[in-house]
Amino acid sequence: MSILHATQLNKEYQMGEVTVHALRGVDFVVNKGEFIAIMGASGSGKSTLLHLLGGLDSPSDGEVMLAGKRLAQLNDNDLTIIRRREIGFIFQFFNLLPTLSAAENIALPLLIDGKRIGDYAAKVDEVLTLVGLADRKDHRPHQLSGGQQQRVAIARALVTDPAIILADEPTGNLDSASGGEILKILRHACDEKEQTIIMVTHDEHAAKYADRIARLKDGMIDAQS
Amino acid sequence: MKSLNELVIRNLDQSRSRTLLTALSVSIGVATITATGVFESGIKASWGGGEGPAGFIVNITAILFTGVGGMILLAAGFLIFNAFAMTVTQRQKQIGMMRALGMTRKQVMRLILLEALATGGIGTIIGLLLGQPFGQAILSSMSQFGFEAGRGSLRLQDVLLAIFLGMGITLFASLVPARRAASVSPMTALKETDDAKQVTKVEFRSPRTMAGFIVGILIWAWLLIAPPGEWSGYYPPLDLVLLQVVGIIWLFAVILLAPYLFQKAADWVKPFLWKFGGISGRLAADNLQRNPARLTLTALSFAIGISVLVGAAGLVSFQNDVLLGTISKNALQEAGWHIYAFDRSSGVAQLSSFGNTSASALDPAVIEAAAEIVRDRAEVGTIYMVNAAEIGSPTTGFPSFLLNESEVKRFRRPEVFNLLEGDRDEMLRLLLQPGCALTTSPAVAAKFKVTQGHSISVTGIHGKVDCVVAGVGSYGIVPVSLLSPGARDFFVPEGRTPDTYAIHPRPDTDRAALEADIFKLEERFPDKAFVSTADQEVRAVTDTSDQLMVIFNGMLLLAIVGAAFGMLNTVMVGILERQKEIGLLRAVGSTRGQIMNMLILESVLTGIFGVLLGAVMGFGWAAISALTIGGIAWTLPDLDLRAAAWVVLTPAFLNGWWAFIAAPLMAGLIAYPVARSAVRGSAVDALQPERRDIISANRSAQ
Ligand SMILES: Nc1ncnc2c1ncn2[C@@H]1O[C@H](COP(=O)(O)OP(=O)(O)OP(=O)(O)O)[C@@H](O)[C@H]1O
Ligand SMILES: [Mg+2]
Repeated sequence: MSILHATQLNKEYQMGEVTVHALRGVDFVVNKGEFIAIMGASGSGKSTLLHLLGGLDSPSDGEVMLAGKRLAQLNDNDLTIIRRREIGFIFQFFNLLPTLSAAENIALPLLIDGKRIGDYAAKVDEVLTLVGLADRKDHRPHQLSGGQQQRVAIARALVTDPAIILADEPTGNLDSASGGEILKILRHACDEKEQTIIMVTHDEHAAKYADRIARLKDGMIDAQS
Repeated sequence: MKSLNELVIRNLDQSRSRTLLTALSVSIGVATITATGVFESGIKASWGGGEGPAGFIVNITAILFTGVGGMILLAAGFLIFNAFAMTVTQRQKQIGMMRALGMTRKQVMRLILLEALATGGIGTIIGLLLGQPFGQAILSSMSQFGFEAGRGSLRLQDVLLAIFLGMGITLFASLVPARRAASVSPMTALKETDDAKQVTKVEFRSPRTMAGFIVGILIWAWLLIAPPGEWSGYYPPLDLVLLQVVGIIWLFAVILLAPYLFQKAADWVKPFLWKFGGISGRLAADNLQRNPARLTLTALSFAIGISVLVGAAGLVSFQNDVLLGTISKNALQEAGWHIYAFDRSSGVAQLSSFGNTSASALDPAVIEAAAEIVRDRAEVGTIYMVNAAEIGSPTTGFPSFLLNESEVKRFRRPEVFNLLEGDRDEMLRLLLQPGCALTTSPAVAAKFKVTQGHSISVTGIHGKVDCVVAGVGSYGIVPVSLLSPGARDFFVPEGRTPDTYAIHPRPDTDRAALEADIFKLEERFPDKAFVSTADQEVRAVTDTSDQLMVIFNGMLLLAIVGAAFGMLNTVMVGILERQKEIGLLRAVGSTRGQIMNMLILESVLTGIFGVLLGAVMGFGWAAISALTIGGIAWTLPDLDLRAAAWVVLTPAFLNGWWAFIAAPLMAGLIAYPVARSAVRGSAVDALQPERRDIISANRSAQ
């Protein structure tokens, strides 16, 4: 059963006279509970695709169906609510708010949803333990290492039990050991909770954790395996 | 060098909106300074230049103008500093990169200073162009408050001051962060964690906070335990000097304390904001705490306008309600009428006539007609206004009054002349003997260290005259110095008519009938005779200071408009800086509304902090006015200054309360459009601000 369905996605950026075609007619189907890696050269459109799939940006042409809803037909508020409840994001850099503690950063989607952090203490503790940071819950981002910050971001993506997790090079700036930890956590989420994971990566080794690899080239799907 | 210049231009061009914003802030600061000058010159022009005999007006207002103008300047300075410091701090990373690529510290410094010069220069030019119309607009708007001001002109001194401050502060403001940036190692500047800058904490034990705390405590302990206004031998203009000095010390104490107090206040409101405003409230409070120095400067730009609004009202109230209120009780008991050649009730406008001996002499025909009307129904006094610099009271430059014999004879009655030092019979004897004698206020007596029987050398129309001090005390509603009938030849030119004709009804006279007859003079001699009742005499003084208040409120409008732009700039740069955070919030599911709430709340809170700071400074100034000016110059040595300091707080509040509400509202309104534009577009735009910058730069290159 497909949870994400993109058809003929096009994305163009107008830069003065020049039009950059970041994506040209991408068709992309993701089934529930799949772990997919998106690979490709720098500038091939990986991040752009991920942003379109997660409703962070809108395509110039084509459409995205997420859990049976056409994203283009939703207004900004409904789209935001979907991001908040159905999707977890992990970015390569800058994932955390500097003024919040690790636990508060993790609970951010819940807080934004108007929930009280006290009611979700157990859930936050659970994901903190899952990412191995139970003893760091009150630390601020600047007191954490890059890998730890990244794990906090993953915990935040997991805390709402979203149907889909979108990760843009989550291990890009980590050493292979901490990178491996993070990949294991993602794999675990996929196996245990049937969460769908779409991960952009440059790293062939990281891609091995995925069920399937989609390769992008010049804004088009080059190969799927 | 050529290539460095190119880099400067490219930098300015690439961050065009930011450069423009900074230049605009500088220009608002410069425009405010220029406009203040234009405004001041317009006000002075409407007083007929304010030269010569009306010197005391110039004296009082010059001090107030310098005070208020200085405050506005300070606010404009903060504005410029904030704007530039923010731009440079924001670019630390870029600077680090250039260091890493092999730029020396000197080159970095030069690069930034050149940028500052370029930005400051553009801003200064725009500001100078805006200043004249801006000042004139405020002048014209004042006619709505019933004050007709003349045309203001752009004076060279203001232009120079504006250029000096515009460029100077910009350079200074860029120097501090530039040095900081140049001194960090290329590595730290490049580190990714720079984004996640931690919250700066201000400790109570930090030298700055402690200094502010100690200075604040000391100054108030001193003011309350031994108010300078109670010192014996205290005289003007020392009071005004002390008022300003103590006022400035208080300002600095508050500024030093502000970052710490703001942090505490934010800590304190945070739980409430979180509880009632959700995560938006919590984040808003967090964000306020991130940069205490910036918060303080922004809040200060509001606080200054508000504090002057409050403080100046306190000062005016001390003069009108406390001093005049107390002293005029006597004058009202002595109710009579005064005839002048100008309209005493015309507020500020009368100031150009009052004390200006060429404009204020009565027409001989008026005097003749008045004498005919009064006949034996009242005692009549004729009074000349005289300018004798040495004995000016209650402020230096205030005119003194030369009385005729019948007016002097009334001094037998204690309610007419409140004698504080000396024997009353001896006083009358001295005043009625030939030659120069005078009475004066305790303040002037203290200044010359004289009492009854001593003499003072006073400058008359033919040079110095020795005048014997007949007594120390006060007459009428203002504690002026009085000269004896025998001093006439020394101070009044041959053939001049008196300036005031005073009519004191006899006990058995029908007051109402006499009053009606006297007022007929106004109809008979339009524009030449103006009758003033005792009540109006008091109001002539209070109206004048009330109108001065309107003028200051006009000037403060300048300060507040400036503050609004400062706020706009801070909000804009603050949002630019946090574009990624906003993008992140959007990505994890914050709605546009939630983010706008957060940004607007931050701004409103800054406004509220500005109000609190302004209130603390302003109420402080109001109390300081009472405690430093005191009652001695007004012949009220026993005035309870601590009580007076308390009493003036109410009128001070009444003049400023609207600003307490307006400032946060204005802050919120300013933030609204900026916040709106910050959440426009897709979330991904906010997550990739660098890309957006490049695009706009490319677009502008077309
Ligand atoms: N906001 C934008 N404005 C203009 N062009 C853009 C924008 N975002 C992306 N592009 C262009 O679209 C193309 C695809 O960009 P994208 O970020 O998706 O690449 P990527 O595959 O993620 O690369 P990398 O591996 O380097 O992150 C690039 O050529 C890029 O220059
Ligand atoms: Mg990418």
